[in-house]
Amino acid sequence: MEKSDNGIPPKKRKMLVYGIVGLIGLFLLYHSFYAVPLDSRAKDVADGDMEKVVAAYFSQTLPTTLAQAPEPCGLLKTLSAEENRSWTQYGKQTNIGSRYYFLIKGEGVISEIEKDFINVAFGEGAETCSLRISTVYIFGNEIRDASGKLLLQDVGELSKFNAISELINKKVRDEVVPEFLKQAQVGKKVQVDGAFALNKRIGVSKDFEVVPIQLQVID
Amino acid sequence: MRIIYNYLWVGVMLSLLVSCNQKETNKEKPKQIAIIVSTLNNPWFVFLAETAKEEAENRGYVARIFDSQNNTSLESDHFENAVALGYDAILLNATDSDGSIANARKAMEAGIPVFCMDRELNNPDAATSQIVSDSYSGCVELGGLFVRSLGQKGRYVELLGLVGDNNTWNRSKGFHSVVDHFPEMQMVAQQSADFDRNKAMEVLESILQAHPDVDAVFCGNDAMAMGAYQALVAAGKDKNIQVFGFDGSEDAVRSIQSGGLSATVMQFPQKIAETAVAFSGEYFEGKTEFSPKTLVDVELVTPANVNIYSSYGKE
Repeated sequence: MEKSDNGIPPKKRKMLVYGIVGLIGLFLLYHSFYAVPLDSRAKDVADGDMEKVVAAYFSQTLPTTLAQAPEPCGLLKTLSAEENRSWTQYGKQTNIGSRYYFLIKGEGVISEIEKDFINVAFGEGAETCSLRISTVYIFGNEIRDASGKLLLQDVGELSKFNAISELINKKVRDEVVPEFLKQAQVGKKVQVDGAFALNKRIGVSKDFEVVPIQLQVID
Repeated sequence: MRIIYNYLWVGVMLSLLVSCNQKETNKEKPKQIAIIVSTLNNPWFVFLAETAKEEAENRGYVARIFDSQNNTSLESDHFENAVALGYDAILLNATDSDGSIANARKAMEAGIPVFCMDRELNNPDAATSQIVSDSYSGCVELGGLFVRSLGQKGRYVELLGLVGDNNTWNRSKGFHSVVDHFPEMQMVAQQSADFDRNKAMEVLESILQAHPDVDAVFCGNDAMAMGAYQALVAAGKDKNIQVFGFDGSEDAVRSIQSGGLSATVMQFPQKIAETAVAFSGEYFEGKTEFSPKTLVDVELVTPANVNIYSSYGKE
């Protein structure tokens, strides 16, 4: 007679064995795959080090560099001239290509307030110009790269370098612009510290926007 | 006397033979460069590879193109051949940001420099230097245009490239770093179409069944953008749904000119290829320290400025 271990009938024992084998199979199958949502790879969180870099950039590097920044109308006039040297004298390049980043510093008068930007008239007499200052689209590398003091090789990884730009822009969007817009009115005098990018192959275009670094109503 | 004369004669002949042989060995063999490309099915990579080959030959090097057909195993074979055949440098357009690391390492361990073109490796030590487009920044700019074009409000689809390629994620991250700040911009579907035109057409056709009311499609490259546009034309929706691409390929530039695609981001494969060959030349002359990563600018191409651009940013 066939042994009936622990009194389990052979048919039930067979089902139990299949069940255990099936469970082991399912367990192995489950652990053979590692499912990752597509967008999980798109999230690299900025770590504390980068926040320190950004804080130091705003409190130390930018004020020193901005102290030497040209006033906007004179700079645009120089860049529009045939002389090529001014682009390398005032502009900074981080990549191989035609894009140059510039810093400006000047006092002007708000001439227009739009949904996404304000227009500020700078200069007096013959040397006047009007610039569009972004108040919504504050993205990109203008502020990070226009000083020429923050370089990819110093930061190391490209993802961190990009995250630094994001943190810099966030600071301006969250801290500088809302406070300024509370007081901004057409006709008010303002101090503008900003950065912008131009493509040397195209030259000084009419519709470029300046990304603000500091905006202050001064009267 | 006759014996001495004969000995002298043999001596002169031997000297001449030795000196000729020396001249032959002193004459420097041209440097050989292997150009290993992810695929030659995409015209963008064909242009990249051929420009690198042409630039290398202009500098007096011998260059040969190897097609990996988007297969890391085939790429591995190419590396083994390049090492065995004694190539002096390898210009690599990687098949996979992680999967190609071991292949590049084989060459580096054999003392052959590897210069990456366009596609990154996820380990900076796996290559001598990597020359890549600043895809992230390009898509930040494109993201800004995308939001403005839709008036900060709309439903959109994103078609991703190859999931294993860093460019896919750099482009997607750059795009979302802008678009996600606008709460009324709603992504209704995000799906990979592997940078492939036909696949993009199929994927979008299927997405449109579930979401017929989208306002725009963002594609991680122009091949997918052209496939997506084709799907929209077939569905009679090409006038209502905007399509944005990335690369600056010939058909994308033509499409923008004729009112098809809304915009693309121009890459400059010529600059990437020329820089990679120039770096190889510097290596041959004794330079050993290279910046791990060199970024090449990209530029936004729209109907307003398309007239100043030719395909692939050719100069």
